[in-house]
Amino acid sequence: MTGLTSPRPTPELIAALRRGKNELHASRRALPPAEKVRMVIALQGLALPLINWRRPLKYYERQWPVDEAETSR
Amino acid sequence: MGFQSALIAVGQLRDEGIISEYAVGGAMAMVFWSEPVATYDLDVFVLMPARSGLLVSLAPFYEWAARRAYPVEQEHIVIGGLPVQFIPAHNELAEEAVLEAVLLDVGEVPVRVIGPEHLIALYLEPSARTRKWLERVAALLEGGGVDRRRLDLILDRYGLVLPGDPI
Repeated sequence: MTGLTSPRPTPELIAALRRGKNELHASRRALPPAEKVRMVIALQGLALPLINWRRPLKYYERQWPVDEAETSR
Repeated sequence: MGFQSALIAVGQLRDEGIISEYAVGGAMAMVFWSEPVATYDLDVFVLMPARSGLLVSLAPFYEWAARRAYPVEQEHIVIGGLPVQFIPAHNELAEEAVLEAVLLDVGEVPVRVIGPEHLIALYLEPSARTRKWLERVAALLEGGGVDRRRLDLILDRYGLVLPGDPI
């Protein structure tokens, strides 16, 4: 016990934050398959530099190309 | 180049009789039934034609890749820029998972994907039952898209149990 206290969030605020997080996850689960593939590719672009910062990339760790039909959208 | 191009090529593998059926499994199947995550290779479970004999060889895949100038990198064939690993169905559960796969449309391309119930069963096999796979099981169950009755029937049929369930 430090004796220090900081302002605490209300239970309602915590509940609202958790609800928002759950809704975000649910919306991602509900994305159409093609949108999920687009998101996987975007996540690869974010993750690969971070992985490469920690260790050399494995031979299969690369960002997938985007389908031609997708690039013309 | 890209995911759809790779899946069109996999479909052609079936049309050419090199495989009798396929279904996407692994992390990419997880993505379709749960949330997108960064994954880097594509696992494709395949059924081989009956004429290929009891022992499965991957040679037909490499010959097919060579004819199409797809690079081979260790255990992956790079199709449309995606590292693809072909995994011959290793038992009855895997065969059933491929045969009963769900057809999804990815853009304009129909893609066979192992259903969430079979995906869970495959993760619960004793040889695959690692912490990582059990986390995937939990994610699939929490996602709400799993038919529990169908899952229970599959698990019963193959003598598998969910973590925490009585044996």
